[in-house]
Amino acid sequence: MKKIISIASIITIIFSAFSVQAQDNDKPQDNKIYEKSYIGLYGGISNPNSNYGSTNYSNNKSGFAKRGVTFGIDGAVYVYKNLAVGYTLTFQDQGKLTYDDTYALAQGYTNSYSADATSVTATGRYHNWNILIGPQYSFVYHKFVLDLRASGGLIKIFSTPETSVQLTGIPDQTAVFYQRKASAFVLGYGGSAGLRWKFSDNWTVALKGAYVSSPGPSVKNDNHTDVMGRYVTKLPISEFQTMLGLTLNF
Amino acid sequence: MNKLRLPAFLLLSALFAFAIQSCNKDAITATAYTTKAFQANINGSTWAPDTVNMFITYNPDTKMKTLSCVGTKSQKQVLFSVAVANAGDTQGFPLGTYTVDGSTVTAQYNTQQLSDGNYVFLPHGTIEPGAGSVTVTAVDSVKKQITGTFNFYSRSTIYDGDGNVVSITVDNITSGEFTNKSYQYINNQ
Repeated sequence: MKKIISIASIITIIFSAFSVQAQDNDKPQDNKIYEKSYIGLYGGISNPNSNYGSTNYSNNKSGFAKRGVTFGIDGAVYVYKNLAVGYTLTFQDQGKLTYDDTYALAQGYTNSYSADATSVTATGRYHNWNILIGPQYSFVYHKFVLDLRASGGLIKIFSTPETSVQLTGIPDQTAVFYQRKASAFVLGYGGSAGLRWKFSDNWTVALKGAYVSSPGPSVKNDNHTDVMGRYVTKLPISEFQTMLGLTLNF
Repeated sequence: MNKLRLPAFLLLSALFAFAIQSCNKDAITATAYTTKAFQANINGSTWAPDTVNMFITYNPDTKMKTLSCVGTKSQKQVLFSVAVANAGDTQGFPLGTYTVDGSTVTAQYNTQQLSDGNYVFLPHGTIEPGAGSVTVTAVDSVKKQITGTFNFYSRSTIYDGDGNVVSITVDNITSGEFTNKSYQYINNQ
């Protein structure tokens, strides 16, 4: 609770500072220069959160996603003063299952089925594109611009890891069963905060943090006739991205 | 020049996307074996029975103490028995390695087979004297738990009508182990 109050206080102070500055700038009303629309190329790190990054066999929503790279285009079109419509198009690679992950799954299935042994094979990676749009407001302080944005849109999942499981000593489940690779368009939402530094008239260096969440794709399972233990039907996505970018005003 | 900035951004982004899409996608396989307290390897495959009965029986008349074990799962059954003379009426069992001799130390590998219209466990081959052993490494007579290992092989010989050998099949039961397996002590008095 104390943390929340502290964070809220800090945000309030920052906003107040920007607000005071904005009022100062507003004095010469007619000469006020508002932010220009911009587009930028960003790259950074995408960290899976919550269920997405969980490696818990017993959690059917755990995704075993890994920290990976993200990059893409991000920008905003100012529609009224410093109020803009922000957009982002980013690609994320959230890695693949490691040996430890597949071994944890194999151990889990061995225990769930009381099997003599279980072999798990994992292929493929988490690849997706975020296509998000939303209102953005920019606070200007000298050569710095703070952009706050709420976003919603689509997440295009190109692939998720696929697993095949072979049990030994279970007459009711002799066939290899699969958790198939998922590919889908799903809804996503999030928010971001970015700080841009103008190092020339039209160029800025930007640092941005973005949170993206989605119910994720449905997952198909094949040949899993005697269901015991882990059975995945949905893979929720939740990630926090830290990116550095270069933007161009236009 | 200014007109080229935006297309350059997009092109660079597309190239980056292509590079990442082709990340390592090799398959990774891991195998986990059962950690059950009683398990063995039958013909190369791990086998952990879901039903295990272990008894130590003392016969005061003959002063024989017998360790007997039956494990069953998936149409397979492993049995062994070790009888020790003059072991005393205590709830433990002498530690040691006991070689299959066909009389005091026996072992058997059964499979479920159709017999007279019913599926029953029948011996799959015979285990000759010297074809294996049972080793008892620890006994906790208070908790009534026993630890040890076993291994043996069972030979099945098929003959034709003239008594000629058609084929010989050997079933290998290896790496058998029982770890802190609970047993029941019975005094046949």
